[in-house]
Amino acid sequence: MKIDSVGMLSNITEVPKSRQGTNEDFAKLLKKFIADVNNDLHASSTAQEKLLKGNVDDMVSIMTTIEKADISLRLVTEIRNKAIDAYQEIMRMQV
Amino acid sequence: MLFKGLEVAQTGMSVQKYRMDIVASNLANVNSVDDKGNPYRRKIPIFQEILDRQSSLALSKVAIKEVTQDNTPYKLKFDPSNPLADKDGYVKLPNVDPMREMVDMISAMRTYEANLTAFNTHKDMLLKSLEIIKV
Repeated sequence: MKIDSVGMLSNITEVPKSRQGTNEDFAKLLKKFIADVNNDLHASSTAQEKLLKGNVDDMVSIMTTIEKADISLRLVTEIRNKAIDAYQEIMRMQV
Repeated sequence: MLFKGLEVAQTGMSVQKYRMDIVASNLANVNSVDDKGNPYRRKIPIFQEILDRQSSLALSKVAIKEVTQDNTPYKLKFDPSNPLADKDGYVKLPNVDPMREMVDMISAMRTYEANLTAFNTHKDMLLKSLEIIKV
């Protein structure tokens, strides 16, 4: 059986640089997404205020706005849970 | 992008609600004249397809293009004692047929329900997809 010498390791190619910086991108993406969801929630509370004051011109659009905000919030919560799970999994790692 | 289906269904519902309003107007004015003494003319909503250019798919929303008048002749009723009767004793009544309005109303309600079902199904699908990420 032939065993390669350690020197062969120098032939290993480097990991392409393009994969670096994905962390930053994810952070940016997440921030943008959270800002979007926040906007949705603001729109939702404005719609609810309108509904309470009684100046409703289109009931359906108000319901749609509220529903959109609800779904967005659920999605962002799930993403948060997933991220925290991943973080805790890493923190549990034996050192 | 995520909520396109919801928005399309929403326009469908809004339009049917408007159609319902017009049916109500027609039924309410089944015996009315306007300020010049002319009988009320039945109103007809015209729906228009609106292509959504923002989406990558060829989705179309719907909107009310305009509300036109039904120009079919007025109903004539022989009633010489009526102050609006012409010299032969006939009174012109609006060209509203309550039966037809009822059918229109049922159609509006069913279409509204169909759009509502599309909306709720879309919503359920989105919420179900969230379960992929859960545990």
